[in-house]
Amino acid sequence: MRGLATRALVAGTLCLAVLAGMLVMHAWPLWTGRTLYLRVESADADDALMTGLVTLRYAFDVVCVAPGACEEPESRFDNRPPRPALDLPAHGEWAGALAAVEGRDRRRWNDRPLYLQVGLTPTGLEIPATVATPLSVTDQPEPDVIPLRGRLRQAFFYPRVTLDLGLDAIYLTRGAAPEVEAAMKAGTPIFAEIAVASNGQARVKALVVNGRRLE
Amino acid sequence: MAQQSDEPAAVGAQRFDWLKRQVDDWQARGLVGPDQASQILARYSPIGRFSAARAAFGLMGLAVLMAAVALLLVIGYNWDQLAPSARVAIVFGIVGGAFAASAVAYRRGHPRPGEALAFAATLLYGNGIFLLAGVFHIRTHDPDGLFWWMAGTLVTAFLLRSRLITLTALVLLLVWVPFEGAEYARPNYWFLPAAAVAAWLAVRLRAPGLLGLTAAIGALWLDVTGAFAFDEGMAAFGPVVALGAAYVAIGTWGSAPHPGSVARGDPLPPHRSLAGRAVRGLGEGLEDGLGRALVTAGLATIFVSLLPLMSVGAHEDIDVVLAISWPTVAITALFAAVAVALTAVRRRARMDWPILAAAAFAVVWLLTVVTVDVDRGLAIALAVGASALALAFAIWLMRDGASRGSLLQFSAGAAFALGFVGVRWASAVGNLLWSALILGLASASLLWMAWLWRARPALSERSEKTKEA
Repeated sequence: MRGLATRALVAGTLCLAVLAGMLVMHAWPLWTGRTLYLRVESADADDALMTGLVTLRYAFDVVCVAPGACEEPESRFDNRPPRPALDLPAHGEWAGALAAVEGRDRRRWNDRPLYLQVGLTPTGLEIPATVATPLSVTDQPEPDVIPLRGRLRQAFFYPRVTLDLGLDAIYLTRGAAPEVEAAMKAGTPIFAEIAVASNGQARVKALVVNGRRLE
Repeated sequence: MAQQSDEPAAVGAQRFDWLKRQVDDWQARGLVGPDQASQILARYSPIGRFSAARAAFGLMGLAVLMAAVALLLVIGYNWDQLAPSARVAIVFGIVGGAFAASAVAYRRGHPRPGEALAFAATLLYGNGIFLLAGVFHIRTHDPDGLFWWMAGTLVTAFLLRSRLITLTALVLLLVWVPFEGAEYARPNYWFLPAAAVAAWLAVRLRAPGLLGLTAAIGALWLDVTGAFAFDEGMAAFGPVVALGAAYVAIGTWGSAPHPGSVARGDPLPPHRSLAGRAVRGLGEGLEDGLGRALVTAGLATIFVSLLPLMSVGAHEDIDVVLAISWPTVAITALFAAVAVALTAVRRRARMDWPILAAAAFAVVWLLTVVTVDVDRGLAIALAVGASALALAFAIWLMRDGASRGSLLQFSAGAAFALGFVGVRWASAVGNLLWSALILGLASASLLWMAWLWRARPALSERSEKTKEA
């Protein structure tokens, strides 16, 4: 039985090591990163499990990397209205390589790392004073711009591509989530406060509504 | 583990039945007395059948599970009031504590509580992954969290050689595969090492059911991940129906070449053909469990793949979005040929016509979608064909399971029937009359199933003796 006891401890150590790795990976931008603000397009606090989850959407979730060339999907998908795509230029060779492949081969591109490059624009508000504005999408970060590291989620309808930056949720205290949704319905601008590490990895820290910081 | 244990040794139910018959025979010949016979039998505990020890372990596992959930609910109620550092400390403390408690139980010579606590630890570990993600406001790509949960659970099962924890890991793998496939429609080959470890564990633990489940999840992975020649999405469902039929055919042919002539649990006569001996050789490694594992996997595979084909619009998902490649058709035909060939040479071939029908249907369905411009009438015909096949499978499995006294096969038939009712009811849910009719028929069918099971004939020599007594 001693052997099994040791094995149980080894299993526990491995599981704790996985959790520790996740902790470091997730917390790294919070420990080392710079703080930016992103304009939130919609915040949905519809959370059946009452976990305080608020789902966030941004204008750059769906990007048209050939500005002006994105057509609406075929009639088969009429029952699923597509989200409007944000026109952004594609930098680097990835877009040309992706454009060269057909339908089902495009799925091989899913999950590839991409960077949304942003610049800072003044808001005229006290908090936040500046907001990060999307500039381009690239596979190699360029100097003098701030890269947000993400993944290509879906490119089936290229040049419409869906990006996944890992910024689509925040868990607020129970009272705060309905407040955010009410602000959304009232048309009040909502900003996500994020931390961005030097490698572009970003994490949501809080929401800013009417100059108030909610977390 | 070197010390002698008073606990009865676990043996397969069929082997236990054989031993029981031998002991009865020894008693009849006067070689052993009734007390000695009882003592011999008391040294073994049949696996795969209800026993007091298994029931106690099941209840213990359930109690541990409920206690773990209760603890999580208490923590969850106050979760948003806690500081992030406190949340992280709680997650690490609970997971580490549960594994430590398991180690203590093992060290004190209590393997059952040790295993139950390790099982609870893996559940708490999985919860910890998602709670930790919540601390950092991460919800994106949940399948990654599931994968790491499964990986940690599988490693724990590997280290502790636990059937229960292996089953937990396989359930997580079963959830991860379609989740991952739906999130990112591209092959994820991390499935392969996980499935290999699970299969190896199933063999080491002599658990045909776990091996069958692993094989069935493999088929589901082919269905949804678009690996190899299976293109993507619905294109894989046709080939995988044929793969399931091949699984069933190989399993039934390889492990029981002379059903009907051999009582359950008796050693099987040697197989004449080389291939038969090869399959039998593999089967002996699992106490003839490989065949049952393949049959289980095949039935689960056909179930997973056939139900989506009952939809009238199934062909559109291939026709509009993707084209089917000819290697896919060739692979389907190969699997179907294996199923047809093996089933045809079996003595009970007439009983296995649904396997032949499933294999043939997969080929016909795929060829139709590839070569013909499918209009609505033909689409309905294909959906009706799949529906009829699912229903036929359900009836065949229940009747054959009842006649052979196989609860597994009977349950598989009931699952097919419920799946059929669910899919057809979903398509008629807007029509109250059709809904009422379908549910009424389902109710009558359930009564028929109950009658069929109660009226099943006693097959084994042992049960006949019991009846006579």
